[in-house]
Amino acid sequence: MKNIVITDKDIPLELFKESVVVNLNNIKYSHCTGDYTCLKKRIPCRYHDDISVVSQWIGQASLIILVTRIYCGCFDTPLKTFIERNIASYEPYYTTVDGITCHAALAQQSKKILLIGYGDISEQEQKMLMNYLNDSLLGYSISSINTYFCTEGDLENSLKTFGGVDRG
Amino acid sequence: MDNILIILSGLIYTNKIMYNQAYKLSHYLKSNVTIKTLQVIKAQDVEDNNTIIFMFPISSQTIPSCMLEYMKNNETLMNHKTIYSVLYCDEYETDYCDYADEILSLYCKKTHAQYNGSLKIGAYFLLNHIPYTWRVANTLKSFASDIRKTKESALDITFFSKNRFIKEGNKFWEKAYKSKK
Repeated sequence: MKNIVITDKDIPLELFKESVVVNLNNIKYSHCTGDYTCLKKRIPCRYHDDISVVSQWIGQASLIILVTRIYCGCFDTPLKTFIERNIASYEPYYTTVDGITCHAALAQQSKKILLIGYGDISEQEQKMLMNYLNDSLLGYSISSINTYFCTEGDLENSLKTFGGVDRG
Repeated sequence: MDNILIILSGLIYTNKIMYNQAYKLSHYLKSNVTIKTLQVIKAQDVEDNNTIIFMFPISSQTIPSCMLEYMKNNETLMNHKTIYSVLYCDEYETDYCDYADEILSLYCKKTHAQYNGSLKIGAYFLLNHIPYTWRVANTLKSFASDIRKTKESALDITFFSKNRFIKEGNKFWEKAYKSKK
């Protein structure tokens, strides 16, 4: 598998023929409890739900396309919950990168990320989110991040623009 | 002095650790303070209090999903409330909390609440393992004093030197790995 699209809204499947499209509203997954047993014991997440499978697909993908509503400059709840479950993709030990402490990502293969955010998004929110994405690894080893923002009404047109990007 | 509500709004397991901190803060506030978790809070609890303090460790460097859900569903309740936050991160640099702080500030603007700032605490996994509990207590006291005076607040605290933090932090994870629990 080359690519994966993770979305919180129904999108036309024919636009991303080379990708697996995961609609977060159609899969079942539990919230992370925040007890960090996965990090402490260096074991996979205790929940064996749909995210276990999606995580494997993500591991094999080289391009991850995230389609999400933006709320107050942050991903909306479905994607945020999904990303929280990704905590097991980090090394528990601290390291420093450019003098800043962090947990290194365990992923070996680096990935490209395309974020398509929709909603009423102000410039300030766009800037906040881009800064966040540049500083955060989201649990992956990232080679490049691109962002695109639009209103909910324009989403379909925007997706048509990006349809085929997965043929890379 | 207003009634104050401390909302433990982290991922469910983290509330256990936060409760101790919330209890200390409520002691320093010396007023009518209620502590609730997101899982049990009711609309009436928010309506009855004029000052709300959100207390949570950031997750994936931002607001925890359960809190985001709560924020979305309770926008109208926040109207004209005074809001503070206590943000924790497990890394050394409290800058990791900045994004969550910005989100809360934006949220308050959107809901016509008054955001009066935050206290950011770094290296929070080590809170119970460090010989500096008096430093945490002093910072909580200063924060409580700002809240009592309805002043804006922008405090932060972290522990050890960076090198020592990495050493102690990695010791913490190693110990957790070897522990039978």
